[in-house]
Amino acid sequence: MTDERRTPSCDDVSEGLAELALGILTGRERSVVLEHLAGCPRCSAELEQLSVVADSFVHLAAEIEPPVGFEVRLFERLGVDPPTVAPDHKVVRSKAWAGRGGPMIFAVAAALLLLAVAFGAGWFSGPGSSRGHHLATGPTGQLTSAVLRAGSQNRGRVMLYDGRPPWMFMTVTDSGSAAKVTCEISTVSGATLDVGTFWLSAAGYGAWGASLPVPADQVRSAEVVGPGGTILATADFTG
Amino acid sequence: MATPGLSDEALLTGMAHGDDGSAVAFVRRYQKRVFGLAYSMIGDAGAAEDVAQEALIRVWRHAPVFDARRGSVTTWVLTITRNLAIDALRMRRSIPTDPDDFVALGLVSNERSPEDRAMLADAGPELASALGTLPPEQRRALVLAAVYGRTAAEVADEESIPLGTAKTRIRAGMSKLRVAMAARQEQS
Repeated sequence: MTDERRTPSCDDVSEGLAELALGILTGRERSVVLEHLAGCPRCSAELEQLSVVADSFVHLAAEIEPPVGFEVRLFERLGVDPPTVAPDHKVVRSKAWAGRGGPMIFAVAAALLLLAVAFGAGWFSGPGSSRGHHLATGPTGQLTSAVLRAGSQNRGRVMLYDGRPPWMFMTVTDSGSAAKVTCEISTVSGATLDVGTFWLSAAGYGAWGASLPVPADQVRSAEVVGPGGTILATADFTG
Repeated sequence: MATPGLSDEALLTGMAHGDDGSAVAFVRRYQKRVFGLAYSMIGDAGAAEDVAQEALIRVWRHAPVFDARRGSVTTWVLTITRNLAIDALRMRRSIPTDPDDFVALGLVSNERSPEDRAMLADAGPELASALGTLPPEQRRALVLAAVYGRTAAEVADEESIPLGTAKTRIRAGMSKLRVAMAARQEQS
């Protein structure tokens, strides 16, 4: 039995070098190129140069300020002690906040989120009381928080800030829905008010905030309402 | 607490040894780049945040095994981000950001930090100017492959061209970029 395979030449692999540098070469083509590279310094040097080009593409992307609370959420996941000053309060890109007081509200939100962590409020902590409770006192008002629940499942957190203007901020996690949702609040007088809409990501995650149409202490509950009017989660502030 | 003046490698070392200050400094140094890349690729803020957070968590986890001989910290971090964004896009089965828009968005951005401008002085301008000289169809094929991780077959499918044409566009484009960047290295 004769092995008819021949060693691949430089010409044989020249086309594949670019694809290998880009990390998109697969299967037998990749094997052939790698086999050749093992004994060819010239092609190895060319691959190295092509790899420099390929690596440069990621540097073309623009720098963009992450959404407010990005650091808080990340440090919580890392188990890192949150810093005492949030640098990510300067620029706000969330469309949900556009025209609603914008950066200033976000600055207060970011600061108070940190206050919440600093006071051991347990953002994203496990199941606890679903009742609203006072977290901290901000520059012009009080911050109240409640767990966002779907049945017995923790779906995030809603915070109400009784400042001027009053506003709310919520984080939704693991909702199982990638959709445009509406935030509705029920007031102590029995009214149901639409506060605004936002999108949940494919992972069912969303972070959103808006000015409140009523004083924060008038809010009895906040609900995340999905397509068709389905209530995805509720936060109860009557406790 | 780590100071902002420490090198990327020093901060990674600090992170590897459990220094919270290093982690905080590193995140603050990179979060705009990481989120920017994810958002530029995915075009959705929520999904981009998921990707950016996961990327920085992976950097934190793998800080002890970072090998500076294999490339810069910046390239390492951004490549992790890119790969996660590709995974997210594959789940969505789409490329929401047009390849030409990705290039244009990066080139017109006025938010680059001094550090990033310094990095771009190494590679960016040559890459950007060389990309600008490529025929549009070659540039699109290259960005689809280099940024979005599309194979030649996938580029052929998305651009409705034969596989051989896709391979040729990718190879020719890479060859031109390599020559342009090598020429600059010789000049410097």
